[in-house]
Amino acid sequence: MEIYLLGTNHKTADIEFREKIAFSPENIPKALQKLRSIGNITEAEIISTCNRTEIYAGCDEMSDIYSVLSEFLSKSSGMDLTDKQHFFYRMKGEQAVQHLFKVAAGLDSMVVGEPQILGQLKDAYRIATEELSTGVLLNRLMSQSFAVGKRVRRETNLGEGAVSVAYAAVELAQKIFKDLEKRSALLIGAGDTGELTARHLKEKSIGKLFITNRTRQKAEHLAEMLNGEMIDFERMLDVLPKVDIIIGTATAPQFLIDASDIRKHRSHSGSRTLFMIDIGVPRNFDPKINQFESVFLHDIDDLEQIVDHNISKRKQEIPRAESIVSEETEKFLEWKRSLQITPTLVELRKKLENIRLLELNRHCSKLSDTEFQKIDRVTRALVNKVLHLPMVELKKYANGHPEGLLRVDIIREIFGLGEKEDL
Amino acid sequence: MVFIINFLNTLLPILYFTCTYLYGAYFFRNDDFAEKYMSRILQFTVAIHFLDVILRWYHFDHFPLASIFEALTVIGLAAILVYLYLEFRIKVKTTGFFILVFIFILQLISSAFIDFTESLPEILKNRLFVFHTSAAILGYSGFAISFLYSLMYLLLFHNIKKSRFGVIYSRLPSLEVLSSLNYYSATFGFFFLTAAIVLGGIWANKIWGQFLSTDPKIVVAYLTWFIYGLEIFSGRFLNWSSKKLAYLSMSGFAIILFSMVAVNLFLTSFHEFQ
Repeated sequence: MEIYLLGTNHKTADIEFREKIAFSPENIPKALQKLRSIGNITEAEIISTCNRTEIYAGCDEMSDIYSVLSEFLSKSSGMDLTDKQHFFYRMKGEQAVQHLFKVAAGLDSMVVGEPQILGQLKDAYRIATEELSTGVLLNRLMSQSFAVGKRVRRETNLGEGAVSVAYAAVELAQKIFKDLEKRSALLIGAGDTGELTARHLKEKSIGKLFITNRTRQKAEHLAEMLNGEMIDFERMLDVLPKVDIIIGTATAPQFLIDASDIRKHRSHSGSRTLFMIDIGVPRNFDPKINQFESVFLHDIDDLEQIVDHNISKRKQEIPRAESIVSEETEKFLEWKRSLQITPTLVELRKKLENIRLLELNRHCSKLSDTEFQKIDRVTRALVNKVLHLPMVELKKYANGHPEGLLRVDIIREIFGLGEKEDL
Repeated sequence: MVFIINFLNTLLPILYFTCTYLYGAYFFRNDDFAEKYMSRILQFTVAIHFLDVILRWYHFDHFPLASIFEALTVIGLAAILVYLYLEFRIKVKTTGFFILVFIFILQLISSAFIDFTESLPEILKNRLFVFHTSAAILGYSGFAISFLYSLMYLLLFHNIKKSRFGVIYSRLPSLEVLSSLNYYSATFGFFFLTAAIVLGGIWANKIWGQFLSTDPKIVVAYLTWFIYGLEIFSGRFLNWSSKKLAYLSMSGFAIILFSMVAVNLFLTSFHEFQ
């Protein structure tokens, strides 16, 4: 049994092609069924996101596997792929395993270390298990890939620091305020960036969230979704004394808040800190506002500076993440090698023999020589009898049948074979 | 015994240097090894430091405040204890580097110039004196910590305000946390300085029959007391900005340094180290 991979991603193909080749979640179950009816493919999983479509297949050596899989993709997407073969990568065994682990670690993502991919891998695996299209090989491969993803995030800083403007804004707010729970925010503009920023604030459990937008319905809709409070666009300055964070994402010809507004509306709130983020184009807030001592005003250039800084810091972590991936790949391959039948039988016999000798030695002092020889004979026969059935059973699958791999795996697990222990 | 004390005296700056290095590696490079071991090594260092002060007290039979260099090591110990408590409370270790640089310098000066052979003034055996000076030491160490947190606050404040997002920005805790650390340690220092002034007054009253004094050093102490008092009061009741409070802490500490150095060197005062 071998693991094969045919895939395309943001590094090898453009978005247009990736969109066409991608599977929608509803279509995956059927596609998996079809895959398993091809040749001697016994295990299959499809990972399809906006940045990649990859097919993992477990089967015995198949010389034409890639052309078979490519034909399958051609049918499912309704595209002629003969002149598009350069968009794909083809990998096998160690290479395929390493690739998947890199994907799980976020090393293969457009934004290095982004966390969504792990969730997407889990979704893909869930669909595959529901369709019973994975077996012992892919089950192990996938669950280990999740572990790799978690380990890389835990042991390296690959996922540290904001890499989107919206998240950088929230991170900046956290450098000023200790608990966002006790703070309230005003979001001006209910567009995409505004929504994303508001969502991040909500994730950090911001105390109160006011939302305003020129088109009232949009603000109402977003306020409902995020459990915020809608404010009339014309009356947004009224909440100024109540908020600690203001995020401007609107498109407006002139400043929505200028220095005199701040002076007027904050005169009675004394020295309270105000944090303002201007992501609007053209700018929503008068840059002069930054002159107030306790007001921090930042614009999109500042946030992009943070993002760039964080991306370059993440890149420094790549070697560490890669060494974890190599280590885990080796672990997987070792497990896979252990699935051969003959070594397992030898190990199993050794294990039982060890148990027999241990018990025998424990009692030998109380036995006479003849008694000892008798018991030695009896226990030897007992071990042979116990081993007989599993041996016969396993030998049936001596030619690498997938069912055999599963049984070997189970036997190894219940007898604790391959674990380092002294009996 | 003298050998052990001498050995510890040499060992302490080395240990503090190691701690400073590790906390620095953690602050600047987010070093894994440093993160894992630095707190334990610091705790060990503080235990050694504690042992050193106790041994000295026991062996020389006086509270180790006979010279300014003895006082420095005791201030260092008190300050690092305050820091350890704060680190334990807020679970943030990135500020340790700033504190440790300061303590390392204190300990280095102390270890280099300390002299064990000096004759002892009788005064050091007076119990009221021990209480008075201990309170003053605790007060000053609180102010030292408060000064360092104010410094970090102002650094981060200007970095954010001027959109410089480097290591200061990414490694220090939030402005609000730094500001409250400044405030807490200033309050701690203020409490003990008040105690020191009252105890000193009682003692002076016993000897000279007057509670207040116009001695330069004591006037400086009143001034310090006033500045930190103002900081604590205005932070609590007048809603002054954290930045103003940070400046108050810094100027308070500047006055303390002045009183320790200048008054001892240039002014005559009965109130000085021998």
